[in-house]
Amino acid sequence: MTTVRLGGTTDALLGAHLLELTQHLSAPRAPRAALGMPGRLGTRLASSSGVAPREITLGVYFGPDTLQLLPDRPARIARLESALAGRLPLWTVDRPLVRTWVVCTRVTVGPVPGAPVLGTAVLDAVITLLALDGGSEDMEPSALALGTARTAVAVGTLPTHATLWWSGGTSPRTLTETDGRGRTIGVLSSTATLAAGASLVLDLDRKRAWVQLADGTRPVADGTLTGTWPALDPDDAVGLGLLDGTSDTLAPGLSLSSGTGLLITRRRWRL
Amino acid sequence: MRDTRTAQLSTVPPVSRALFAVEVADGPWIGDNGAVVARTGERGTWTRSATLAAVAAANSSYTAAESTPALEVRDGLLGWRLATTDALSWPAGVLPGALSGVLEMVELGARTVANATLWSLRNDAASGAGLWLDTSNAFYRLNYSDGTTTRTATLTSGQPSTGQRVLFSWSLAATGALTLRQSINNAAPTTATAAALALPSAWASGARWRIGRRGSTANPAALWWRRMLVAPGVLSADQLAEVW
Repeated sequence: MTTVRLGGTTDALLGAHLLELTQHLSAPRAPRAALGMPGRLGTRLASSSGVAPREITLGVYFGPDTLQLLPDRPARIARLESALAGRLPLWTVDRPLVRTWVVCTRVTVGPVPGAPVLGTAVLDAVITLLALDGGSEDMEPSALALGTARTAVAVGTLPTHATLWWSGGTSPRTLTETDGRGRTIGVLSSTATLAAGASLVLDLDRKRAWVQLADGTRPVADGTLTGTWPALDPDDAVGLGLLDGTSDTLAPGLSLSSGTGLLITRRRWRL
Repeated sequence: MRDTRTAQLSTVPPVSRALFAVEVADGPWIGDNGAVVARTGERGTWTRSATLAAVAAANSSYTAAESTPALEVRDGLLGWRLATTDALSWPAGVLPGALSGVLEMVELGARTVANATLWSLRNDAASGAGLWLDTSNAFYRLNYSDGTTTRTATLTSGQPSTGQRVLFSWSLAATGALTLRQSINNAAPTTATAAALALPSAWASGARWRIGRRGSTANPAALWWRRMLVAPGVLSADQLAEVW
């Protein structure tokens, strides 16, 4: 049974048995400073400005069921090294719906403790993975149709990534974000003029905008924007919706002043 | 207190060791400025000359404008629905040699349209040396042309009907022999082969990876696709699953 997948490679494909997996369920440290307020007693808490790297340790065992001969070791080690190249999504069977992006920073391969050195082929490998920003994201994005009515956008425990294609309607177009209670918390407005068949595209993560024309060209539209970008932040959700994943009416929502939109979202998680 | 940490997960491009790989769940449509970027880094082009109605989102359906990719949710999975008016392609930097690949899709009726092409490695004119997967109007088939002669591996069983999920895997051996495997709804695959034909020294000038077409205009196909991958060598299904 597959228990771990790194990129496309699984422990089963490697012929390895999982021995150890640590920190894959732990959030990284996100320190916050306490800021003094001039002329007043007390402090206020700063936003977290950085996140400590999270190291995940993966220990595997190549047993006699898949590694019988000493001369087979180099190929097995090379295969392991090959599987660890590049930036990889880490998937584990205990959290099948999310992935964590990692890079391998160290691999230690050696004989199994207590086994005779160069007397038996079996090996242990300890793989150290650095989670790039510490968090995880849904394996699968989702697509939401937006209109002038409020549409709830599911959030995880970190702000949700989203890209909006907005077509039709009239300029100025305003994108309104409301919290889980329905209160307006931000309005982003664009004066971009859309030709027939064109869409205004908003990358809510990078805070970039462009107009996608029907001929495939994409002029930048950052200069047409004023106001506040939607955050789709779990702090703006209320109730158990965030926890049980079912009551999404309590999540933050988006609405368009006119026209229709397609919102591609991917929830993100602190763990 | 709001956590201003914004995830940086998509700012560092993935590293794939495939020759060409594109997966809708990666968000290939995002790029820095809307380019359709493959996992392997190719910046593609996409246009559609008409709106596309009744595209399924998670909460309702929508009509995709000409400039909005018809990203569609099916069975909880996100894919890209292509109409015959969609033109989607990426530059192809690949020399002829042993190749294997995968296309994961949902049948939307293309199978019964003769020559409708699900994917191809062909130039704009759909001429010269190339590879493509099309249909006889009864069965899907894999084609390889050295620029003069064409070999075709045509399936003789397995006719996906509209809405069925299809996984194609294929290989081109160094001898030029073809193998096409088709699995419908995760069932055991059916297979077709074609005899060897020496590989050319290069694919046709201007050949591109295309989904849903054989050239810039030729033989468009309607399909919902989710993943396309090409890797060097003749690989088994398990090995193809390992290429990322």
